[in-house]
Amino acid sequence: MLLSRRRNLQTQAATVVSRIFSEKLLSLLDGDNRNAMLSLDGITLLADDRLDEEIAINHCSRRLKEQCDYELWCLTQRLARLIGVAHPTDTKNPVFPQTFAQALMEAIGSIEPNPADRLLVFKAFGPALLDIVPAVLTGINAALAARGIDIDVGDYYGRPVLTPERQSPAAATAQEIAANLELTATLKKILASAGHVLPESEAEREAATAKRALATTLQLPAFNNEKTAVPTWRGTLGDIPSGNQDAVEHQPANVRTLHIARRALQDKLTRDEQVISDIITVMFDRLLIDPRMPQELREIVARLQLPVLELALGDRSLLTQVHHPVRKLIDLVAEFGLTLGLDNDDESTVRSVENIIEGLVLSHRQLPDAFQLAFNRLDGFYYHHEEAAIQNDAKLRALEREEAAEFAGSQADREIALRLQNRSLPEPIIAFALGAWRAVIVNAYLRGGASGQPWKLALSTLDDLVRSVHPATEPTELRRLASTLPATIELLLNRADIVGDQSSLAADLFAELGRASALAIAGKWTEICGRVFAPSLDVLSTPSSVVSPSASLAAMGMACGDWIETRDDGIRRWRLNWITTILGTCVFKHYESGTTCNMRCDELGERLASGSVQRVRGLGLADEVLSGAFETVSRKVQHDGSVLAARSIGRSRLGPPSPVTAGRTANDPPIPLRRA
Amino acid sequence: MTSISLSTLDPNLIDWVRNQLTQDFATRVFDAVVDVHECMDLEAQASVGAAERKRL
Repeated sequence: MLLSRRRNLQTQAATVVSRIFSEKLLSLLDGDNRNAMLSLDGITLLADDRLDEEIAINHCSRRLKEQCDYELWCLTQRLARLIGVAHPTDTKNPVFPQTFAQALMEAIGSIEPNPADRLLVFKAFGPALLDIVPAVLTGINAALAARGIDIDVGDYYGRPVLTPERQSPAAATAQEIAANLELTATLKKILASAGHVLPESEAEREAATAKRALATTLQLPAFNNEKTAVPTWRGTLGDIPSGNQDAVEHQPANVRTLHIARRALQDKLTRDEQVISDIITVMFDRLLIDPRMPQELREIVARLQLPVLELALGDRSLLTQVHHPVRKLIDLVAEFGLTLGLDNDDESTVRSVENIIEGLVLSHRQLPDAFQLAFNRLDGFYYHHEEAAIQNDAKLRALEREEAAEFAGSQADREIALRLQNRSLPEPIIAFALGAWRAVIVNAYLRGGASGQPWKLALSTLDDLVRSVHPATEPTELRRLASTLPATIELLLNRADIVGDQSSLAADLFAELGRASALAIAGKWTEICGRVFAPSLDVLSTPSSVVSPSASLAAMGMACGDWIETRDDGIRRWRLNWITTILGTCVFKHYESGTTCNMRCDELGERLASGSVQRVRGLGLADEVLSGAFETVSRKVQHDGSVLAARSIGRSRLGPPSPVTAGRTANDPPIPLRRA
Repeated sequence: MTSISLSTLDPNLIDWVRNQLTQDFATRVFDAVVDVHECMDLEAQASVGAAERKRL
């Protein structure tokens, strides 16, 4: 249906976008205020399916706004200039993403009458819309800019910018494939030393598995007992309690669940399954005492033990795929706790994480991608919590304020230089403009940007000040300025709270202004002493085309929430927590030490290119604990091998040596392992 | 910044913006249909597979 009627979909989408655009445009031009008031007549009950559609459209619009906030802002500014109105609100904005989401829903409705199917198709379009709408907005922005409709991009600064969502890599990188192959080889060595002989065809299949796209590894475990379809251990596993109702050695039972499971499954698992069970057990033992796993979340993570063991017994990709959803989920839980700095007041947050994990525990046997779904849910939950946590970070706020002041200062210097350059002005006026009045202009910029009233008033007052001592000004205007200017200047100085040295500059100005105004009104221009002000070229240079910091970051393939690794002072992993909206300073945090590191966007690009900084998948906690588990189990397997070898030597007087221990002795070196 | 509406200088400009926006969006939606259709097919297969495994 969708494929065969896509031409209709295209025509309908065009018609509806055009209609909504025109309606909103008319509403803007008429100053229509219908949305401002609600009346009972306007409120209607929506059918359930219609309500679902509204919710889906609103959700989709929000995601789109987050995705293309900068492009949307630019296009809205251009449109506002084009039709001569102020920046419209979201509901009246003809190019707000809701226009596109609504149009698509209506267009789908024209080819798909069934409401449930319509919603399904609309949701399936979600990821595509995240590409389509930003591309459309970018295209129109570029076309309008080419036609000379420029906007002051500086106004964008200081707006609360939404953190771009980190992108999940679409395909495994060469580095990841290499790591996967290495893990596969390591696992094979451990299994081989435990007596497992991999048939050739299986070996080939496992090597191929490492290269396969991740999605294919998410299928339900292919159980090794083909006749019964379900292995014998599966029922036993289901009987093992995983709650915390038992107490073993003063520890909650859920921390020891895997140890109980190992004992219960001892005679039901094959030798290689036992090795895998050991690896998962050691992995959780390490994970649950790792300082990076927050105390508040440990019991919740412990609930994952049996599902992870069950998954690993059926599908070894957890052990051999560095980008496996289980690894990602474990890292995300730790990252969640670390970045939010959970404490006793965060019970509801912890409870929400618990609900997500509990959902996984209950559904993992039925849902093939339960771990991936849990990861997605936690990621979405985390994204919005993280936003709020970062907005409250005092250090980040101070950095933003500092950069905003720096940027406002450079804007103020440029505007003052443009007004004073090549003019002969009394020294106190120049000193006042560069000192006290600069502070007033900076203050005005910080209060409302270049389009705000305070900024316009501060600059027009400076214009008046310059005109009040300019020979071309009419005498009546000179008299008006002489009577009104001191009061205006004083008012703005007071409003900006200018004190100290700056106020002495103001006193000098008022004295000079009184004298110079009297001379100007009397037409004695030659008696007004002045000097020609010549600003430096740097101050006057037009700001180079400004690129949104988030866009620069995205061009490097990074976003807030990504991780990097440095090796200057030992191996350290840093999380990119924020990028400032003005100068594009990337703020990284090393959670183990609590250290913060600031790096300009261009510097980050250079360091990534030189290799002194490397992008990594995440915190790396799951990789580390699994790698440690591999080493521990490898040693255990060799120890068991030596014991068996010693026994078989004793038995050799009675029969041939065991195939398990043939070729290995207690003095053999351990299987070499490298970290993934 | 000028307070004169640019559309009074070139009244066709706003129509041009509307047409560009409309056509670009509709074309991109048309182009995306094949991918969206494939994704829906894959999801449908996955849910049938999951139901089958559950039944087994």
